Amino acid sequence: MEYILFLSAFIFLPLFPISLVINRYLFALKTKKLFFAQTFCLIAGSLSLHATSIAKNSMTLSILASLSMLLYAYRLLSVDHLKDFALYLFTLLSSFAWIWYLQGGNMLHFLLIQIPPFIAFSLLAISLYERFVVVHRYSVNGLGNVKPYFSILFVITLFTLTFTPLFAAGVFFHNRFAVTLLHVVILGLAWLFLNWSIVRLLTWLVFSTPSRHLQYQKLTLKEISLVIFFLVLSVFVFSIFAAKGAL
Amino acid sequence: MGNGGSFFMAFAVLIPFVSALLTLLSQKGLKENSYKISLFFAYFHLFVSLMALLLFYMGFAKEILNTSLFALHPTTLGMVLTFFVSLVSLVIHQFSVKYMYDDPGYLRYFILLDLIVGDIYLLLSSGNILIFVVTWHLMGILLYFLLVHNFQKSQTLRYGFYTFFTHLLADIPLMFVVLLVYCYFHTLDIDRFLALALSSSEQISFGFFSFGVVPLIALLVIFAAMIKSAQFPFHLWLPFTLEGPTPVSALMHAGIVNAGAFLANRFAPIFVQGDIALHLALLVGLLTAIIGSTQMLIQQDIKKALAYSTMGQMGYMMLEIGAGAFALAIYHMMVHGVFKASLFLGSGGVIHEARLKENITNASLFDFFFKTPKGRYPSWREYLLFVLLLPASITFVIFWPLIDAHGFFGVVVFYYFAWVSAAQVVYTIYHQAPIKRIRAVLLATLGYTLGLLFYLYVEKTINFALYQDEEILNEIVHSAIWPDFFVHIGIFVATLLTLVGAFLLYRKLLHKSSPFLIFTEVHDFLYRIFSREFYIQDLSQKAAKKIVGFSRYINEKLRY
Repeated sequence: MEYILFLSAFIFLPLFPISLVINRYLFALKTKKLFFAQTFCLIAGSLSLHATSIAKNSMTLSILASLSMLLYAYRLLSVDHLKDFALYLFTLLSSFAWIWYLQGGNMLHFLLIQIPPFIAFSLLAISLYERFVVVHRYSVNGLGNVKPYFSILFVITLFTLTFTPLFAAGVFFHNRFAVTLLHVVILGLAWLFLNWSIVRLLTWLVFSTPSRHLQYQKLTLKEISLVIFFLVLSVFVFSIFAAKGAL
Repeated sequence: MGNGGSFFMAFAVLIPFVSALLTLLSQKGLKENSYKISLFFAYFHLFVSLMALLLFYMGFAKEILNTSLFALHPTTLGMVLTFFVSLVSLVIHQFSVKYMYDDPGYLRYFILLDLIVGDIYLLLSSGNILIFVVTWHLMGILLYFLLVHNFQKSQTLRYGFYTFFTHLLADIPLMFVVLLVYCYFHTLDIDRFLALALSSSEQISFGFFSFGVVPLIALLVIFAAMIKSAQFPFHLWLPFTLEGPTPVSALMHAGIVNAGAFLANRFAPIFVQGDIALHLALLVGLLTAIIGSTQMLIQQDIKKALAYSTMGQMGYMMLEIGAGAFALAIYHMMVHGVFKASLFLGSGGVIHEARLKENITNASLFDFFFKTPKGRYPSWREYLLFVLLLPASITFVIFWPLIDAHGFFGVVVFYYFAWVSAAQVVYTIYHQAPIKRIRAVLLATLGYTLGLLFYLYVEKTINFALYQDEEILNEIVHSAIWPDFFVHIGIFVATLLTLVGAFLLYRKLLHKSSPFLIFTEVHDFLYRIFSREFYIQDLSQKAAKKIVGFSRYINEKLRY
């Protein structure tokens, strides 16, 4: 049973090159289904890994996961389509889940800290796709001027996503140092690229001049509440575990 | 008073966040007048931080410093700087009320201002290294949002990104520090780590060579400090921040750019074993001071000149850290912050006046010291006397009695440092041809002398106030000392360069060309390099294009 769960984690949390196959099927889904499927995969994968302890000290898998995370963080740099951004972000988080697992971390912590911001991001992305159908660099711009509450939440969500992959967070909770300097450098680079890509995304989606031919609708109260709930959950849980595990 | 002191600190830290929240929530009700909430809390915070400082000096220090709450651990350094930042923040808040009045993002600006100031207070009070790193990182993010205030301009976004990216680079060494501290010392409490670090001799292995953990941490701390404090070659974000609102530039040059010095001071005890880090700080600081000051001289834009002046000052500050003079760096940081913020806030008015009138503002003080109907260029004898000999003599007289107290090395460093600064001041004043040179030079000399005396004697006071343990301070200074050979080489090279520079200046004054063609070639080459800012922006833009271009290529090939 453990082996089945372990192998299923490779499907739910695909590393490169398995991600090329899994992502192809995910990309074919409609936008709303894509985001739900990604969230489901992250949760299912985290729970699968939580229930197993196979290969927990595997150096090879650890390096592969780090390189996979680096690759997808690097690929995020040139993305002009929000759907592509979400896809690569999902794979990056999947790789980070593996790193968390292989470093001996508690997958429930990952589930409660890392996945809620991704859910918040998905909800905001869905709200955009429902209103604009296509969210591309040259189609939807300058939301900061016309949708201020959306923009604030979007910015907070994205930066909350980058906080916890502070790779140090992954190794704090179980008192183990990352195995090699190379491993640590790779994760540092991945974090750098992730932040770079987020600012690049914000530059065209939030900060530029709004498109004149679009009609902008505000977020509903339900959408705002859900996003804030998941953000607060993530930060709250992180604070508790950081205080408990690190202090 | 024990836990009361910490509750006081927690309350002081929370004030700006409460202010930001209330300003946001009152937007619909109070509309444009919501800024008054932010302004009120800025005044309130100054009062609270002043009370905290007074309580400390009235004898409640022990109770305040021996307690911690939610990982807030007030230190003397933190409390002094909190009051200082509070004062600067208040001035900026007040200035921004009218300056930003017609701006569409008026309230957004005040909210972000409160958030960044609150983040700085949290950084200054943090006793936990994880919270320290989070606030350090947040500072870069909040600064980015402040700088891209006028985000309709693509140039603003480009320069804002450059600033953000540089701050990101400053985060990475600190994240390594957190890892090392937690894994080798099993704590995230800063003071506990510092106490353990003093006696630690643990080594970390990198395959074929090993390195001490504490010296490595010291090196990483210095890297993070250097990047954050705009040391060469990570300095370009400083002039780029001029795209942001002027009050943000003032806050940045007065507060945020000094974060590196605070970091180095907060982790000061680790530099007992950090001789390599200190030597690196000295070299990089020296280079930054020279390049920043030179860059300032060729600028046509007043604000850009001020930005490069800040770069030069940050270089001096890093140089002081490299020399083991940590308290001096703090003093320098505070004094520089105040005067640079006032220059930035005043520059807007000067530019405005210059556009309206042919000659910049006539004021009675200016008329007394500077204005004269007839002017002539000074003779080379006058230059020699006022620019070289007069500051040198004053500096020599003041520092000669200190040789016994500071040792030869310390006095030579101070002497050269003070003399170059003074010569720069006097040269700048003396260079203005149609002014009353004698009066202007005497004024500059008087100001310089008073400043030097104050600088000298306040060192002891700040040292004692911030670092009670003199033994650790002496050990840090000992770590910072270079072998005599390098000191002598440094003195020789500096003296030679000064004499060559004076000689070339003398020939220029006599309207003669340089005696050797190579001097002209070197001059032209250097001018090209400096005017293109060492091609750093060009190279980094090319590198960014290549990096993003290759990412796009991979995406096209892999698709999913």
